[in-house]
Amino acid sequence: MRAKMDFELSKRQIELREEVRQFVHEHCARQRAREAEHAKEFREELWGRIVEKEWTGLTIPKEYGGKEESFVELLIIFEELSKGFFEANARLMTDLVFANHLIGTYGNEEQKRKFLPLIVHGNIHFGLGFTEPSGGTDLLSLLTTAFPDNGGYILNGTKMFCTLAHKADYLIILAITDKESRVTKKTKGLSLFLVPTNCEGLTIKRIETVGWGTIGTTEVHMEDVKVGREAVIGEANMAWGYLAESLNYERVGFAAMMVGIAEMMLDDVIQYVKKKKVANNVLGQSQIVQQIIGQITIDIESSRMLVYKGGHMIAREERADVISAMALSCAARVARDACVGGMNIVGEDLFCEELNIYDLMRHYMIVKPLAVVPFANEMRLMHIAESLGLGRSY
Amino acid sequence: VKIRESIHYELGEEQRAIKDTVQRFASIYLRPINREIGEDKTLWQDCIREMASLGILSVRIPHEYGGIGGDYITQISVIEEIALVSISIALATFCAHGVAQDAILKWGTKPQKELYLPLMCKGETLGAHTLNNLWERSETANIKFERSEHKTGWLLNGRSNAVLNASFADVFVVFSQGKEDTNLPFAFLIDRKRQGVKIDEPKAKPALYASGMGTLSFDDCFVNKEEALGTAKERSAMLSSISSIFRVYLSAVYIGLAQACLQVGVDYSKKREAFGRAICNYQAIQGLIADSSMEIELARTFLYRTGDTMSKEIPFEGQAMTIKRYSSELMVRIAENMFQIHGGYGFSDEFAIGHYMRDAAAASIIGGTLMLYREKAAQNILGLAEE
Repeated sequence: MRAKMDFELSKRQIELREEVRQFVHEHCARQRAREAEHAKEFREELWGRIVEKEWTGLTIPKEYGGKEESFVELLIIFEELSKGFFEANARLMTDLVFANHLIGTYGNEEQKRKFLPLIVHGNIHFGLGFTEPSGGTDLLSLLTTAFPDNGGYILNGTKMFCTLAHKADYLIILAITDKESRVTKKTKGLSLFLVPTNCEGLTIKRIETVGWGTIGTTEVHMEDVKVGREAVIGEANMAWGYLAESLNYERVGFAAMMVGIAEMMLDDVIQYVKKKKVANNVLGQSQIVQQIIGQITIDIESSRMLVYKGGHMIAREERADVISAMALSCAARVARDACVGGMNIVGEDLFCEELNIYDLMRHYMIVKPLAVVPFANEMRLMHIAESLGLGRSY
Repeated sequence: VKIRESIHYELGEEQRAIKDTVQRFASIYLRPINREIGEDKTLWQDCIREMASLGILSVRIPHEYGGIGGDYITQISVIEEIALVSISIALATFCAHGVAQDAILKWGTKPQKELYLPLMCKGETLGAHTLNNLWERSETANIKFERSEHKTGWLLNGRSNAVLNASFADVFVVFSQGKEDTNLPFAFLIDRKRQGVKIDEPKAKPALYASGMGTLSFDDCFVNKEEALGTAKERSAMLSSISSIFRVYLSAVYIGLAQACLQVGVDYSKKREAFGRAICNYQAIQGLIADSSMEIELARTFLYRTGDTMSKEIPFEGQAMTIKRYSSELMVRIAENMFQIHGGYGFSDEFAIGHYMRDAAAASIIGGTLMLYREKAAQNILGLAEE
């Protein structure tokens, strides 16, 4: 008999959630978050505390010094930490979801011994180099190449929107290693490389963005960048399968963050409408407000269900492409609706710096990009449709 | 008042000529400096002077006060053209300065008009107002007037937030939010340099960088009788007419920005390739473009109908609320849809759409939210008294 359905977190998971909430409450001041976004800086002063909490080793196997928790625990951190320290989540995403997953699952023993303990101690950071000017949603139209040379490789190409590359020690670069095999299938002939950021021929330029200032994204240019054989993750030419898995995890991870931010925005708005009076009536008692808040609450809870179902499936190593597309499509929309719904409730008090709801505008530019990255929402919907047996529409 | 036999929305020759002038100014002068103008006050002021010299700041003002004597349709078409390039400048110049001009023109005394209007047309005196805080009854905005005990006049205390053009305005049309004493004047024209007036600009602006949005506060600011705008009796007529004009101007800004979003979305969809074709060839993209275009077309038609009603001096309060609600909603939707077309590049600083979308969200709640307008519309239709 199968285990019965269980929607509850375990006692330890609930404790972890409380711990992260407490952390955000104690250390992540609103004012500092606003300044950091405006100044476009990563709050490095807070990162050390994340390491102290040992969250940097959360999903890393015990034998490499980690805590070997499941993906569900990581989602709990993503959800709660997004309420105050969004850029830390982005770093946990590059270091744990990508680097740890790719190296830990497909890397050789030497790579694991070299990198995983450093991730646990928060002493090494990674940047992502998959998207190119030619396409993020159309990731497989990449042009970056890696040619064999003296037992190693020479890399050439340009990568766009390389999250956190400017703060990274290593970049995880996707490149073509076998052009011929890609003629029959575009997913073939690709390899992943761990490229040190101090390599000769590698330049990193920050891309100015509207929103996401604390995280920061970059353009990476590689001109005859030489790496050794040990830079390849797993087997050469097999990278698409590895990466596709990580990309599923990433989507669920971002979905968890959207649920967290949506909940925070909703809480801010609820606090506001409880206090605010309009013509002697408490605003929170008005029907229009209650209708918006009721709907957002349903939406947050339903997207959370998708997120944790996704986490559960990933923890059990089930295929997670469709659930991840569903979770992010839903959660990104919900976060947007919570934000815009909130703005419509608070009106021009949105511009009062002394109120927490002032952050709705900042959060708008944090959540809205999730409609287009990673992968445009259209793509998520088409992927779901394709999985139902409908033909490819693009 | 000229009564036309049928509804007629084509611009006349003169209106067309003014619109063309503004279009040229917007594309040749404003577009190249649009990015820096929010950070650079000198640039901002030069731009305003240039607009004034072309008559862009005085469309609605009669010739006798130095304006070009245009009607509301002309004004709306001018606002749209500026908003197509810079929503912030359009908000500051029309929704703040322009509304203050309209308020003085309609409710000011002859000396007030003679004092302010010619200078406001030239852009030497800039105006703003505190309308934004009236209908939301903000907890932090609470301007009150009381009779001064010592001198013949009144004392102002309190503050008003999210005042457009607060950074640059020389004169503020300030409305009372106290409802206790209806014998008191309801609004005043207050000089920026007056003692007790304080203007705070936000440390880190979240959006609308060049709109000069700020907080206006009064600490025992003394005003005399000559500075009162309108009388206590005119209170409700004045509030309803000025806020309606504000709503229509805001709507013109919204539709202008929506059009700007559609244009960049269309351009991008033709250039950008994915899976071997320009993305404009995909149904998912085409749908967004078709819907946006339809919505703008419908909204614009209603906007010009409202302008026509205004020019004919027929009551237009209901129409003003309808277009404000509809256009603010569609602007946000279209900005988001066009952002969607841009994919990851949408939030790259290099492309306009991320800026447009952020500004659209912020601008949509100026002058009252969707929620408020739904409520008011229902009250109107059902004949229920306002609370």
